[in-house]
Amino acid sequence: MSAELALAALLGAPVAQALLVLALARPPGLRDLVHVLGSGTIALLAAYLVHQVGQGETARIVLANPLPNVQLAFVIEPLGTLAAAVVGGLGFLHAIHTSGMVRAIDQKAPARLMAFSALTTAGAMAVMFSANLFSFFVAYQALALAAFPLVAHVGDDESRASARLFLGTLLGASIALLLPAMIWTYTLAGALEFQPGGMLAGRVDQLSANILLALFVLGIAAAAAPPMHRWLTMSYTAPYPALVKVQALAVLPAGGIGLLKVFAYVFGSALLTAAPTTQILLGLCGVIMCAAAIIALSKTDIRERLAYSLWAQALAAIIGGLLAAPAGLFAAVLQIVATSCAATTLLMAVGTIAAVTGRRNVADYSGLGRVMPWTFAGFAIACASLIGMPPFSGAWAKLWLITASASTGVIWAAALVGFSAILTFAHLGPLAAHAFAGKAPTDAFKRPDGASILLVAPVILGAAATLGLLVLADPLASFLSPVWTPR
Amino acid sequence: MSAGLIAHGLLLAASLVLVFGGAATAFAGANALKRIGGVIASLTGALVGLAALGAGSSVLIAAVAIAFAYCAVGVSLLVRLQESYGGIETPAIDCVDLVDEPAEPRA
Amino acid sequence: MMAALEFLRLQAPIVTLALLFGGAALALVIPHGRVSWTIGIVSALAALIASTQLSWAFIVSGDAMAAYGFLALDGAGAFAAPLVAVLAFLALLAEAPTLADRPERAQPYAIALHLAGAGAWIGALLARDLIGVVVCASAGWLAIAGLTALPAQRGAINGALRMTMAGGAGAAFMLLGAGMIGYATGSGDVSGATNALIGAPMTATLGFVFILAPLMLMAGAAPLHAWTGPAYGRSDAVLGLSIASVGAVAVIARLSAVAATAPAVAEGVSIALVCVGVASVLIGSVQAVGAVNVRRLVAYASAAQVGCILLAVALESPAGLAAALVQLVAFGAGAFALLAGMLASKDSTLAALDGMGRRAPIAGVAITIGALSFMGAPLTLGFLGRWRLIEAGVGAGWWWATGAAVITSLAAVFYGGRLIERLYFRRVTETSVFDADPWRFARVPVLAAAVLVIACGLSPGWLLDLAARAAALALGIGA
Repeated sequence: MSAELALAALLGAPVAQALLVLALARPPGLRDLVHVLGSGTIALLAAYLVHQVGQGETARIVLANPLPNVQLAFVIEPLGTLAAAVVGGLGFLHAIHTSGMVRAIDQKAPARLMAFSALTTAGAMAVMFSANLFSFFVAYQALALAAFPLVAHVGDDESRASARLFLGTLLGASIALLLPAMIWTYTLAGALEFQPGGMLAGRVDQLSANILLALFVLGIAAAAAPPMHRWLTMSYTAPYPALVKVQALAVLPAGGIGLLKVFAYVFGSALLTAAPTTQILLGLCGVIMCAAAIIALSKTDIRERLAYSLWAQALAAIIGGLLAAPAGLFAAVLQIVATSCAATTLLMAVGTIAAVTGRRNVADYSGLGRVMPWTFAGFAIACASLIGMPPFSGAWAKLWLITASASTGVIWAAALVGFSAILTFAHLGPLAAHAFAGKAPTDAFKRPDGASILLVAPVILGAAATLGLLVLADPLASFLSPVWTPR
Repeated sequence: MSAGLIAHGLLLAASLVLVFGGAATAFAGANALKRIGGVIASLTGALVGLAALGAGSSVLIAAVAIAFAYCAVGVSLLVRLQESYGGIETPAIDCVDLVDEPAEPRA
Repeated sequence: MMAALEFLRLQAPIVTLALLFGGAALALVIPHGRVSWTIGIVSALAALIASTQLSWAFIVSGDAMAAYGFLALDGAGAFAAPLVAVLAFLALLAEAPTLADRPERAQPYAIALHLAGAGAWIGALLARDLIGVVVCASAGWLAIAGLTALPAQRGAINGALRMTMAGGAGAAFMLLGAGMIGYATGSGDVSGATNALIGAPMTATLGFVFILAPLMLMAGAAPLHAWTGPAYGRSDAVLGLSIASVGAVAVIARLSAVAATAPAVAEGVSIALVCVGVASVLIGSVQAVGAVNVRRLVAYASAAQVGCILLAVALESPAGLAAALVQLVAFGAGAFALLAGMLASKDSTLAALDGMGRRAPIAGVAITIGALSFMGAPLTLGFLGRWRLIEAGVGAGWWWATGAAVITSLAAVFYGGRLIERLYFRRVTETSVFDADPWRFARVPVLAAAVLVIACGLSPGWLLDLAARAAALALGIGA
């Protein structure tokens, strides 16, 4: 299979999956099988593309020419392909978990949930493989529109309000800020194609670089840079399967990767020209990252706590990108990959716990680890990864972040990353510890048969994936090196 | 020569006054009949203006035709208003229309 | 046979008008509503073919058309004429389900007024002299006002009265303006100002403003749009109102292109267009966000869209005029998609859209795509038009034009998002009364056509080329 065909298949497969799930909604077993097989196909295609990129292959497909000199095009390159592989692989686990969840909680409109979940994956894949700013803009808007029904799925007033905030923030910021930034870039560079080394390198004056950077960072609201973060902290009203997609597997990672693509392929060395803005954004993200971790401590609903915790992790990735150095970019990529693994595992675990025990308050988690050992093992490993405890992937990401900050002379950013890790421990560590150390509750389960294998196995496998970076860090560094090496 | 120019100027000024005044009445008149009167005044002013500017007879005839058409349509609408609302006072008609509007349920 | 076809091809402008007015007369004479409707459809389709042929031959092939004393072709007119014709055809198709709701005596009038209104606006686009433009615009306006007044609801009569009064006052200004331009340029022709030695530039400028302002009112541009609320909100003739809006904007583009070729008046006209354009974007956007009647929402949203078109026209450059023409197509298609979809529900409140995505899926899709186009979502015609406006604005140093486009799109995200949420994320309520008449399937081509045109955002090369050629012709630049 050629790389072009694989890329086209990877972009089209989630759409086909969505349509098939809707068409074959009954019987439920067939629907779930289609959903899982579709996700498996996506994972395999993404893995194939990683192999192709590793062999030095390139591929580009053009879907449309909507404007002169502007193409709707997608290309395989190391950064996007890696992210797509992570999202695809974890997406397969999530699909299995979703099948279990919709049965366990008798989810309303499961076929619609799965269909929009698949469409969200399509949007995320399109963002990751976008070849230029225009394709990124189109894919980003498609992602926001596809994820909106997930946030609104429950259908009550609270979820509708969250969904309106979600769509209004993402689309509004993209039109008000990202679109003008895109047009300005076009006038400066004469093109919109992503270029290793940066399309603006040597073409932009300091004032323009500063303003453009601010427009891009705030315009890509999916990356959750403050003050464009409220969609993330309010999205906890979504059902658990949707929560994984929005916070861990599609929207937030796509926003982070999109921002990194802008840093690497739009700005490149021009990021150094945007010095005052990078420093201000670094400071803002660093301080807010710590504040988010503190706020998480005050939240008693586990979904709200995790939303703020993941926000802090997302800000750490932005800090890495803003360091304007290959090491910082690498650290940011590792941070997004590690967070994706850990967040997926955590949210799946939390969903399993809610489905089986009905518990959402952190105070009710005490002792549950004794009656749900496998689920809480996964939960604890994912917490450890988010905190940054070795040997889990989060540790390597944090280590690289601190190293990159120190090497670029931004020592205070390294300190803030470290402080944030301590605060993350404060709001997640005791939770995991009390789950095992507390007295086992006698009336834990809503269902007499406990959690099915569909609910537990993905959590364990996700937790195992967080160990992956232990062996993959060096190969990843060489895999990603073309990102910061101009041709 | 100068008297002719002055006359032309006065005619033009009068036409502008009629056009603007008539338009104001057409938009803000207290009842439908006054509004139609405003339209007629406005179009009359336009005719006077065209004559002052030396427009040809075909242009003047076209202007008269336009005025007649608006007058005819306006009067027929006036009659239908009277039949439907029982009056032609525009504030009262607007009030009745607001009452007729279905209330939007709270979102 | 071939000779006859060739004869008809050369006479395309007059044939177009004859088909529309002739069809109107015939429809009026036939007392049976459905027969009148059939005649109307055939006439509109034939006029659509003739006007498309006219446009293609004039803009692309550069063929000369037979000259008549009262008709003259230019780029903008030739581009917009088929657009008005296709909207008239689709409006007549959409009339089929609502025809039975009208009193039997009123049915032929509805068909005739649709055709006459479209014919008059096309006449305004093809008229040789300014007085012809005024006569045709007035005729078109009165036809649509009559259409607005046809339904039994009394609110519609109030709306029609406001239209008539506004149009009458506007006609006075247009007549005076035509006279002033004729006096200043020494010619009553539409193209009289082009390269003319204008002895009284202030008079000529004022004349253009006096002609363009009423047209902006007819187009529904804010702040001259007080009539749109009652007219759109209380009448079923919303598609006819859209035709008038598109026709008026097209005439503005035509006349402004002429003004752009006269240095003495170009700047003044541009300033007037900019003022109204900016006001229309701001006021229309704010009102659309707050609207609770869906048809009025479309009226206010249309004001914002018209504002963007006026800004593009105000650039007075080939790129600006081409952007305006592309936006005109996007506006017409988007407004039609929205309104035609909304006609599937008998009620015009926002709550009536609840659950329409499931009960009337085609209508739901049409409303969604119309809303996305108004938002300027990528891969829709709306995005294409807005991008071209921004490109042309930036090229002329008008960076604030980007701001206007962004405001229009942002506001559309809010009210368009509200529509989409109602369609797909709310349950059907007791206020949701959907059309169950078998004739409702006559609306399918309207919705499908609207969707297809918007989907042209994927491959718009032919449209961009056509608009660029039309703009060059309108401004007298070699294509």
